[in-house]
Amino acid sequence: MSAPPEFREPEKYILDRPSAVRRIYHVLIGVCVLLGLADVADLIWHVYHKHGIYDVEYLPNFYGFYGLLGCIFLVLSAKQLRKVVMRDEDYYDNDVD
Amino acid sequence: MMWTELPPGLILLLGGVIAAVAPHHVRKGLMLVLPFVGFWQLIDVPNGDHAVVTLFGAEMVGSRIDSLSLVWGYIFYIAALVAGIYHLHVRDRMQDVAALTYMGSAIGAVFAGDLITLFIYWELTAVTSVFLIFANRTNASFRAGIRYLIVQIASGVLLLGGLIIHWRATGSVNFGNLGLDAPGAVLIFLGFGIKAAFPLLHNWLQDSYPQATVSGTVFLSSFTTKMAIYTLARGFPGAEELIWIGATMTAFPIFYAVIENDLRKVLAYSLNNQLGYMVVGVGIGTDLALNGAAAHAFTHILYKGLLFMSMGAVLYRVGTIKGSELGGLYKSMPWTTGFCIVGAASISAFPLFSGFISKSLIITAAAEEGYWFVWLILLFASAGVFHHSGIKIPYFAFFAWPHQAQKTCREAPLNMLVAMGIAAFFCIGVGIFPGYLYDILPYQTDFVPYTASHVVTQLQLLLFSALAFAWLMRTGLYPPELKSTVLDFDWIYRKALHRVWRGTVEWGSETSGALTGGMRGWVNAIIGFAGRLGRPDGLIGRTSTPGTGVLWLTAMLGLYLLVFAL
Repeated sequence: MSAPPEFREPEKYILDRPSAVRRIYHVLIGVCVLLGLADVADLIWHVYHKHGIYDVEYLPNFYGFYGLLGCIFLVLSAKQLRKVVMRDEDYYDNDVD
Repeated sequence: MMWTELPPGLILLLGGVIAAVAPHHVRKGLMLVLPFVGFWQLIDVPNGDHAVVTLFGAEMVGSRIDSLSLVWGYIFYIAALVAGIYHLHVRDRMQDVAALTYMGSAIGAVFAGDLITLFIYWELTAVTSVFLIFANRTNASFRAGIRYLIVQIASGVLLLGGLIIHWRATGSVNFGNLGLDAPGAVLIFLGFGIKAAFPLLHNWLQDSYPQATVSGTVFLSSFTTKMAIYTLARGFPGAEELIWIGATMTAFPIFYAVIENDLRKVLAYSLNNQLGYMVVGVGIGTDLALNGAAAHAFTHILYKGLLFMSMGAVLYRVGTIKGSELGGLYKSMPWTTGFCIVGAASISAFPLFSGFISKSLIITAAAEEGYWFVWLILLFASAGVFHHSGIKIPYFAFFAWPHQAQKTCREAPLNMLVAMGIAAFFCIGVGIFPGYLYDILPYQTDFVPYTASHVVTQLQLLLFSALAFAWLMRTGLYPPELKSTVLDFDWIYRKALHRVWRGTVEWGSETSGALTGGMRGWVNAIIGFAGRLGRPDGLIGRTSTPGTGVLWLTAMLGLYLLVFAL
């Protein structure tokens, strides 16, 4: 192992600014909206010829909404799972009597 | 002539034997040169059965080179080289020998043409790889190693039982498409299933991999489970049970991955989830799906290795890999951060990265064959993978603002960076030029991953998942990383059975108090005996002797086998 890490006041980077993080968030929302609109445009003008196997795939932004809701479900249910399966960090440390 | 007849696994295995006595730089030289030698052999030797020996009436094939085994052979040698470079700075004979023999055994298993040869290599991977866990030289890693060994040996015993039944019934030990209806096949299937980390048989993986050394985990993550996927693809292609087993595997580990704090354990859960895709591919069994399973094994070894390497570098430099104690490391370790993000983008199947061109084969095959429910699960798991491997891993290690002062450390050692660089190069290279990978797949394919439709829908899935993460973070709904232990199935054998045993003894002594005379004496005697057995130094209670544990298990399974055979 290398020398133990030292603690010191870190330098300032762009990502240390809350405004920069907020901007990234807004850009992400913007890109998502565009991706969603691409599906609407495809429905009307067939801009990118979406092809799917199941009907549900032709719903505008099906993949986007599925991913969004899937992830929210994943995280919130995992959070509930913690109530059942989470223990102290040293839970198994004393498993010898 | 000799060259053709040399079973591929022996190259690294013999290297490992030499390493046992060779000095440091010879060992390192072997680890760097032998993968090239092995790779060259695979290119040089024609397809077909080589190194055929007849022993006790069984025809054993030491080297079956065909389009299926070659995919695994190529990637195993690439992984051996990359992990060898990553491991270059480590001065530890035990790890060098373990790694070389372990990789050699896994390669040997992949080219085994019969079940007996397969069994020998199968067990060898277990007994060699466990030293990569022991090499951490802590009490926790020792205990995890013992548990790992017991499970791995059990897998081998099942394989042995199955192969004996199969041999007796059919007179053949040839390892081809067995199918679940063949005699003994169920036992063999379960043996494979343990190493492939089927649901409920999976816990050895998350239990042991995070306990291995920094480079040990990188070696481990590449071979055992993918070897098991290969054997499933060889022995049970198209077994429908695998579709459902695989779908379960893709979905349930990701819930654990979200709440687990040890980031190497998060990766172990996500490894489990990725194996699920391959298992589904094998279960569907069409040309497209089997190609998908092979391609995904290939890309997965690279990006999962890359992710484990980046987390290993963090552990090596900072001394911890707990999400709750990390953050802001992108300032100190910019290269490692970059490589980790390449691995994250690959596992998440972003267009232009390797996961995209392999996972889509499997998902498309599931949809085309009409498994709509499985298809929905695979899509959900894809979003989930991006969530915990694609975002959580890099975010909590390198970006998240930590509660304590940000840690500063040096960038990873050069050899680690080179290894990560090579893996990242392959991840991007395969993603941009999928043709090179598709050309070595077992079946002809005309699959085109880069259609506008596919790219747009995949980006929708991924970026909206990213949006979900960002939104949950900003609203504070996202569960924070907490110092904790998360219970999984291993709780059954690490706690529950232990408690049942103790409870029984206590109940017994209370009962004995209520009884009198000879009865009391009898009960006391039995309880006393049982208590002595159960004490830490007693016959059953002692936990620190690997040999005994394995022996008992072997005896028990052997007995079961005997009953089964009669």
